[in-house]
Amino acid sequence: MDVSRRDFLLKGSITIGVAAVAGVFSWIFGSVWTAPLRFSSAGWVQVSPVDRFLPGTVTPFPEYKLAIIRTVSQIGAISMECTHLGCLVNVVDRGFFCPCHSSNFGPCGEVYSGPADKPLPWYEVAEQEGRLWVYVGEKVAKPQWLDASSVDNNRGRV
Amino acid sequence: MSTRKRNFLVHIHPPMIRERTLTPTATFGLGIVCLTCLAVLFLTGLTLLLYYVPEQAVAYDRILHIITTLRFGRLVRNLHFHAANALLIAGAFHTMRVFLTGSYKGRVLNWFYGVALWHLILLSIFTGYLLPWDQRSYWAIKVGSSLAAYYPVVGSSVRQFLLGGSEVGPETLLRCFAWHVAAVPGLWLVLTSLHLWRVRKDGGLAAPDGSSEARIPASPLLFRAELMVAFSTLAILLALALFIDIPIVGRADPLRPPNPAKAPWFFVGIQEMVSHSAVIGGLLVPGLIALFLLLCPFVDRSQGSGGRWFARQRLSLNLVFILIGVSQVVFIIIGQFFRTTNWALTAPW
Repeated sequence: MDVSRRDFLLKGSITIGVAAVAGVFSWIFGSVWTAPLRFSSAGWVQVSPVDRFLPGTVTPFPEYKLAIIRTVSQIGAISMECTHLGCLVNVVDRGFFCPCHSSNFGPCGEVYSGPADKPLPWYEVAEQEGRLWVYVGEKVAKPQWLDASSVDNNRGRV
Repeated sequence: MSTRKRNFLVHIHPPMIRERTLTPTATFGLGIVCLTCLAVLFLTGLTLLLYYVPEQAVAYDRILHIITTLRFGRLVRNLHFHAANALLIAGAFHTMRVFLTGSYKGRVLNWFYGVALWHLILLSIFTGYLLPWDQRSYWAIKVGSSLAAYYPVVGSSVRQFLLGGSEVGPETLLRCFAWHVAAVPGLWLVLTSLHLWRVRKDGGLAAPDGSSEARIPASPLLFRAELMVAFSTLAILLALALFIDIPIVGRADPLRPPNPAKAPWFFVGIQEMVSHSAVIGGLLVPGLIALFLLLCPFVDRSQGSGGRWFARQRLSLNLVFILIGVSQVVFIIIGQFFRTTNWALTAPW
C-alpha cells in the first residue's frame, strides 16, 4: 500500500488524538467506576460544622475514635486509638493519655513515654459546605493538615 | 473506498454526500454537537447512577460524597450538568438553523421528531434538576411544576402525575429519578435513531435549488469534519467542567423558601411571563409557540426546497421565529438576573 507522507502524518495525528481522548476518559471513568470502597459512606464521617472548632482546641469524638485538633491556622484529625494495644486514649492538658497502660502522647500525638512506641496516626480531612469530613477508612502516619483560613472565610455561612 | 472497512460508523453514513454538506455555514455542525453532548450525558449519567440514591434522606449526602470524597466525582457531575445545558443551547441553535434555512420542507416527519426531541431535552433537564435534593433544585421544581398547573383541564392532573402527589415530596424524587434514568434515556435512543435515520431517508442535508448536484465520497472528509466538531465539543465541555463548579446549596427545606424562588433557568422566561399574566403568559403564549412550531411546515407555502439561509419568500415566518427566540431570551434574562426579593425588578449592578 502506498501512503504519502502527508497522509501518514494526518492519519497518525488523528489516531493519536483519538487515543489520547480515549485514554483520558478511561482514566477518569475507570477511576470512578472502581472507587466504591473509597467512596463508601462508611469511609467518611461528618464530624460537625467546621466553625465549631476554635483555634487551640482539641475536640474528641469517641464514637469515631478520633479527635479534631485545631491550631491557629490548621485543622487535622488524629486517631485516639493507642498504638500500644488499642485502648481509647483521653484528651489531657498537654496531649493524650492512655488509661490502660499509661502511655503518654504529646499534643500532636508524639510519644512522650511508653509503653507505646509509635505516635498516634492521623486521618485525612476535607471541608465541604462548612462541614468537616474525616476519612476514617485509612490511618496515615503523617499529619494531614487542612488549611483553616478557608474555614474562617466560610464562618457563619452555615 | 474499499468495502472491507465498512464499520458501523461508515454504515450509518451515506457513501456519497453533496459538497455543500462540508461547508461549515450549512449546519455549523450543531447536530454533531448535540450528539456529542448526548454521548457525554449517557456516559456521565451511567457513572453517577453507580453512586446516587434516590431517597429523600440520603440523596443530598450522596451528592456531597460524590463531589468531595470521590476522585473525579466532581468532574463527572460538572460534565453531566454542563453537557445538559450545552445540549439545551445547541439544540435551540440547531432548531433555529433548520428553521431559518427552511430545511423542514419535504421533511415534515423529521421536523416533528425534532420538536419531540426538543421537548425531551426540557423533560430530561427538568427531571434531573430535582435529584440533588438541595434548596435550589427543590424550589425550582416546586415553582416549575406549579407553572404546569396553569394549563386548564389537564394542568393539575399533569402536575399530580409528575409529582406523585399534590406536593413535592419523597414520591416526587422517586418519580423524577424513574423518568430521568429509565424513561428518558430510552426515549433518547429511540427518537435520536429515528431522527438520524430520517435524515438519510430524506436524502441527506437539504440543498437549495440550483446548487451543485455534484457528490463526493463521505469518507474521509465528512468523518474528519464530524470528528473535529465532536472533539471541539468535548474539549469545551471538559474545560467548563474543570473550571466551573456546579454549586450545591443547603439541603432541601420545604419550610424555608428562598426569596425569590425561581424555576430552572430555561423555564424562568415562562415564569417571567406568568408574573405579568397567568392566562396570556402561562397559557396563551407558550401554547401559540408550540402550535407555531408544529404547524409551520403546513403554513409555509413558499416555493423551492429548503437549505437556503433567510430565503426571501420565507421572510415573515423567519421574522416570527426570530421574534419568539429573542423574546424568550429577553424574558429569561429579565427573570434570571433582574428579579430579586419579592420578584421586584432591580438592575443587577
